Amino acid sequence: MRKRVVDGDGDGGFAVLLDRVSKVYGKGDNAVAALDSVTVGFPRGTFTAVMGPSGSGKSTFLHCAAGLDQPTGGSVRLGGVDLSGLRETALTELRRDRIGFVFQAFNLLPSLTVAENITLPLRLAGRRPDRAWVREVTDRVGLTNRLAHRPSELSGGQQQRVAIARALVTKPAVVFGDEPTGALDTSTGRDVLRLLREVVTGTGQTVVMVTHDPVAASYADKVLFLADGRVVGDLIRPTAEQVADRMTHLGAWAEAASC
Amino acid sequence: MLSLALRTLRARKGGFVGAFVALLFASTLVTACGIMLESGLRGGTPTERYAGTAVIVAGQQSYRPVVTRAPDDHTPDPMPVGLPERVGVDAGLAAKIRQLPGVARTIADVSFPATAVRDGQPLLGPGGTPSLGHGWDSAALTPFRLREGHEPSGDAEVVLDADLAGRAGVQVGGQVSVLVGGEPKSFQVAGIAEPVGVGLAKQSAMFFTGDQAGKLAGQPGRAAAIGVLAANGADVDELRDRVAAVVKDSGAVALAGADRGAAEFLAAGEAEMMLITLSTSFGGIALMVAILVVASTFGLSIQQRSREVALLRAIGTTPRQVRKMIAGEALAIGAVASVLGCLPGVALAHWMFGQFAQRGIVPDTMPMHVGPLPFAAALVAGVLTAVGATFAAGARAARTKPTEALGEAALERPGIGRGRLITGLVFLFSSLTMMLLPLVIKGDAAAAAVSGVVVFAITAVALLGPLISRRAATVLGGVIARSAGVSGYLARANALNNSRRLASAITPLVLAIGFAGTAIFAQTTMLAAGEADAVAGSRADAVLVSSTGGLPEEAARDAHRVPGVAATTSVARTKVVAEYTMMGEVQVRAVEAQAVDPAELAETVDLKVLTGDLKRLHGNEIAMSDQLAGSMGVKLGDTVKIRLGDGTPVEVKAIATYGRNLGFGDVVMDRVLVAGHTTTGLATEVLVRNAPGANTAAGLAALAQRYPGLTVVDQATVHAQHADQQRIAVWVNLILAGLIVAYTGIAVVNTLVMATSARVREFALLRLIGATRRQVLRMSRWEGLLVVVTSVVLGTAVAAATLVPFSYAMSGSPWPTVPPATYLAIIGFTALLGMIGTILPTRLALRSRPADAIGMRE
Ligand SMILES: Nc1ncnc2c1ncn2[C@@H]1O[C@H](COP(=O)(O)OP(=O)(O)O)[C@@H](O)[C@H]1O
Ligand SMILES: [Mg+2]
Repeated sequence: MRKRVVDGDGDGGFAVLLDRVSKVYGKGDNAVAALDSVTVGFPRGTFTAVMGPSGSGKSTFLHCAAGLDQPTGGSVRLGGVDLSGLRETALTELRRDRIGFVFQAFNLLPSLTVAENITLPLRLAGRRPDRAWVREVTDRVGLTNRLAHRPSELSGGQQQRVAIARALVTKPAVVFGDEPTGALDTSTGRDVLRLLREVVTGTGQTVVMVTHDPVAASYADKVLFLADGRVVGDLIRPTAEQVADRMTHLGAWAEAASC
Repeated sequence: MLSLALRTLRARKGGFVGAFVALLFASTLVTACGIMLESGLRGGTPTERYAGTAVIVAGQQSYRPVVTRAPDDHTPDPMPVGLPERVGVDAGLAAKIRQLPGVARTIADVSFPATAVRDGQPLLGPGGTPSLGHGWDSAALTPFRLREGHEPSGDAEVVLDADLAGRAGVQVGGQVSVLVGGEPKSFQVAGIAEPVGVGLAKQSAMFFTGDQAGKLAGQPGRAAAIGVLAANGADVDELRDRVAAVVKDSGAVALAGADRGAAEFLAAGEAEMMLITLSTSFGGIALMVAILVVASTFGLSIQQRSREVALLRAIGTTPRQVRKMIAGEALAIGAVASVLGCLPGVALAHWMFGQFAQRGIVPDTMPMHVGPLPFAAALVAGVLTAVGATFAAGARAARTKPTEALGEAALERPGIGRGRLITGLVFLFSSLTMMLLPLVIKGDAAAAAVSGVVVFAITAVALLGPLISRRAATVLGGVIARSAGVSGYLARANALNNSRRLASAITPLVLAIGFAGTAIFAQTTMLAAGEADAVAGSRADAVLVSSTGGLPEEAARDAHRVPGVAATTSVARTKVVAEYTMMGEVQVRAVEAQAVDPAELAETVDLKVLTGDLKRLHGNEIAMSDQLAGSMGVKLGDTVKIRLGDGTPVEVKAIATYGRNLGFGDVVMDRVLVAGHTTTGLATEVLVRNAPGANTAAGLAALAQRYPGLTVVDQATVHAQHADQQRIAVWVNLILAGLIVAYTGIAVVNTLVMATSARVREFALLRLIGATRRQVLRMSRWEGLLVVVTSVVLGTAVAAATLVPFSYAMSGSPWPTVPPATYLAIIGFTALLGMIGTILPTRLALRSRPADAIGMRE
């Protein structure tokens, strides 16, 4: 039997919990603190957007939260499991089972068809795809009639939808997105965001998304603002205007801080 | 466009490393081959005994047929073939040349084996070189100066060179036993002479009176060469031209300076010829491999930046400009790589020369010429190769649609162009047709034709590569996907959709196995067939050979008188030149021949007579191998013209054909026919057949008393000595194969590294969606295995397609001789290259963190 990561479930309803997480790049004089003692939890069944000026540590935050990168301080718990004690293979298997990813671009393997791309995480885990479930997922992203196509034959929005379907197919606890609409036009972007919203409301999954687009952020339950590697504020049930307004201030704040 | 090309080169060094290295290597090989070719053409083995002459007149030691052609027919004339026996010149020319202005003296030089004997042992020249006799006049050619005594004044007097006299332990006035024509005679030492200004490193010399030398040489009116001594102040080059004009009509040549050595040392001429042949074929293959490798790496690099090309097209670059840009890149790379390859080329030439000298393929005194020509040739060939090889890739890139700049675009376009498909099929069918040639024609001609199969078949593989690798992916991929879980499943999908990438790795691997396999196993097949022939065809119980240049006819007669000996046959190995027309082209070949005493031939040799009867072998009625008869189109009873080893044309009648040509040569003739047409006039061996149950060992060994230098050996030893020549050929082919494998090794590793490093993002994605490192590694291992298995199968098929008909043409058996260890070494090495080339870059690609790699720009 394949070794499975046991669900500790001791995090009181949090899908992901970051406790005083720091990440320092480089050494000595060249050291850059990309994350500076960040403590934050993502409750199950919520949609969170992470925003901040460029270089504020959004990507680093996401990578640490998703177990792609080891923080230099603090701990990350995913579904009750402390990631810091895990070795590379265990970490990969945990990601495979509990985390879905959607990136800005290059999400799909060009050699595989849409259907094959979607079911790949299951195959990698050595599991047989459950037909009904795969069908449900593809139905939900609206690609059922495109299953035999290759990524190169799809539009950018369709490709992102395939990526979302793939992220959902393992029924992960959390889906992480790094600017998943960054490369899309406005209306296609909306479709994708609506889909992510549905994932949260429909199946109670947790979504954490990095974005710099206030409109995208407005689809989330909560927006976290990062600046200089620290959480500098949040907004609950935000509107696009509120977010934009806060970002403008943040930008000014960041500029002032960097002088 | 050139400036854009240069900037692209600078920005994308990685993608061009492969083409660059391939061209560098090609330039290295072409330079080395060019140096060998030039050395072969210039020759210039330094003369020893003719050092005092201005001009040497000698026979033309090669034969080139006169071909009349229509004015618009530019087919190159056939290569001249070297003549193994000394051609010599008409001694009467000396008087004519003497009349020319600037000539002080002319000397007709005769030269024949003459070996002093001490305590029953022959005294050869330094290091086993020959000891030669001449007339006293010839002493002025070097010149020799008398140290003691006087010049020979009677038939029984001789002058020895100082080194020889020392080794013989004789003084002026003493007696010395000299072996001439195989029989020792006693001479009185009239004087001891030493060469002025030069040493004798490659011979010993002794001088008789002019009359005596003429008699001993046994070719009245003929001279080995005529030496021309210049009058004071005469210009050597002008003199040579004047002499050349006078002797031209008699077919002789006038040589001056470094060329004189060729007239003195016939083997040097052969070595030069060998260098010329070898270097042209090495160089040709190197260029061909370069074209295939560069085409393949360039194709891959252009495919990898198809998006960039599409972008260029989108912003208004015309297809023509794209093509120009790619040609510009090729030009720049070709030029730089060619220049840089020159220096290692010189080093390689040095190394090969050293190896050749060490193995006796070229005399170690043969100088290596490093002139500017090979470098120029390497540069031109390098640039042309690069530009030519990228033609297809450029045309492909020019067809890129601007829209391909958008979208994911990472999937390659399937299939190949129609032109490429048709060309590939033409090459494929040509090679299939050539394979069948040995069913219709026979012998070396068929074997030579068949050796082209490998080139055609590999070109076909290169052209049809993407289609082939797609098929391979379908067949092998199915197996792998079924048996190897998700890694196999991914490997299959990747292979199916990246047939071009696969093909660019498969082509050089097939090339390595195909070329190396044919180069090596053609030789082993020949060697084994020759040995089998020689053993099966021999009826002799003992063979007499000599270290002094040969055995006289008397030795055979004396051997016959040894009690218990039933039959003897003297054999002189030589060559004859056959000229015939094949497929509209004049072919000239010097084939192995044996001049024998026919009387008891049937008792000592079984040639496997196929038609006719050897009993009639007599005078100009000869026996021919059925291979040669087939090539020449000669039927029993036909009269044809052939040339003896010294180029003399003779009309001969074919009275028998036989099958054992690999062991006994292509022509067996009466020794009477070659009398006066061989350098030594001696037999190379005497075959001895015993009466049933007789033991003749002691009796034959006793012959050594009468014929110093004679030894009794068995047929296997003689054949082994004879086969040494072929072993050298095996060795030369091993080097060739080694170079090709090294070459393609570089190409394969580079292609695979390039292909795999372009997949960093793909690997990162796989890992992010849950593939473990092991799964990714296993996937790339399966892909590597698919490439390797396909290449081994195809490479073996290509080699077999050449070797099976080759073997059939040579020996009648379709089974080539393939030593399993050598074969396993070849495919093992190529397989290793393929696997390392896949796995190593994958490991490196997996080092970077997937989260970083995924965001990386393409
Ligand atoms: N691999 C790295 N090495 C060194 N510094 C890094 C590295 N990755 C990110 N950084 C630095 O960390 C800070 C945060 O980067 P990042 O998380 O990418 O920010 P964001 O995604 O918000 O633009 C930046 O100052 C960046 O320069
Ligand atoms: Mg970022």
